[in-house]
Amino acid sequence: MSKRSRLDRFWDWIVSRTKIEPFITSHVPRHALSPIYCLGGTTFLLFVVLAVTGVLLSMYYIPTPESAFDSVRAITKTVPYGWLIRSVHFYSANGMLILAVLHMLRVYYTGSYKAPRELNWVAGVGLGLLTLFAGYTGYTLRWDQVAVGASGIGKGIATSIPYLGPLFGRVLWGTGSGDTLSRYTASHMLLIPGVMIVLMAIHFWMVKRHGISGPL
Amino acid sequence: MIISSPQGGERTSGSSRRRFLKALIVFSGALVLFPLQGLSAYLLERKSGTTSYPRAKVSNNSEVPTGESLVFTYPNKDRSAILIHLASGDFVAYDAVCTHLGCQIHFDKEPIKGWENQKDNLFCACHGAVFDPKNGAVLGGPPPRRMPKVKLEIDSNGDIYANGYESGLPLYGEE
Repeated sequence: MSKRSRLDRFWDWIVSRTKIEPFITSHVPRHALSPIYCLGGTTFLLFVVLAVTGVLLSMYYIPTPESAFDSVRAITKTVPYGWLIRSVHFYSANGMLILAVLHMLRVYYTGSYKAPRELNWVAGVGLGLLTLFAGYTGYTLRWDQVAVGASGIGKGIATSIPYLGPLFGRVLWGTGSGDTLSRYTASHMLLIPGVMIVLMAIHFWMVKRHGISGPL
Repeated sequence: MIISSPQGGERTSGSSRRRFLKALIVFSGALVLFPLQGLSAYLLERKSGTTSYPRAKVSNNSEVPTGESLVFTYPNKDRSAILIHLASGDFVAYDAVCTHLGCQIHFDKEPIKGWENQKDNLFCACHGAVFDPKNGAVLGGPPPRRMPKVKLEIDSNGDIYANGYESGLPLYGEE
């Protein structure tokens, strides 16, 4: 072996000072070296893409009923590459849902949800539902006729829950359309991603603790 | 993730593969970062909301008799506009794309059959939209707003130029 390069030595120094080694290395068994074992990671990658493009979109988006649609249109038409950022956000969101479902199918068919990994399945189901809610709230942020209609349908479904429904409706939808859009925005940009990050940390930590499930 | 081989140990042939992979990572990193430089415009620039329109010759005032009209193209060759010589002697011009659903509007000396009562008005045959030729205001039919009025300039030779719009923007299809 030749002398280690400066970059390698710098990396060695980082590793020795941060003690990061156990967090970034993991034993991957041979049967898991397969694309279907990458579905969860790819879902996470799209989450990161969505976070980055979402932050960029939020810099121009105006969450008021009067301006929301115009600001979305301005992003698409007058902001340089705004159409690109918005498209990447849109398609990544759809891709994330698809990949999350495929990941769930992989976990199901390889039996990876079985003991001792049941709680990780539960965390994953939570993440899947939150992805769905994020998609739904994001869809309404345009606040065009379709979005206003969708918010009404969502409210109808939520309030139809026995006993707690009316309370959900009041909390989530507020008292008027101004309230509703603000609360959708807060949910889409802060609440849902925040909870998802916590659940993802738990999800990944449990994967690390349990290791990858055995071969079929 | 660094994949640790269960067999352990590094083979010497891994060294050149490692160099290749490193080069690949640097190359693909550069490939990702290069367009980002252009993408920075997202945060740094913004197209102005107002589009500028060219000054273009339309016709000469001797070519359009009183009460007649002329269809020309403005602001580019793909979009038609209509010049009208009003009975009062004034020249006016409008974008010729109806603000309702984008059909061509007319100002015909010969009345359109069935719409004889609208022969002195700007008229769209698709859904019966009627506009006032003096100012482009909606007189009837479904249009949500008035026709965009072209700003005209007439020089000493009687040449008529279009130079942007006086009122009624945005153009249909460019909202």
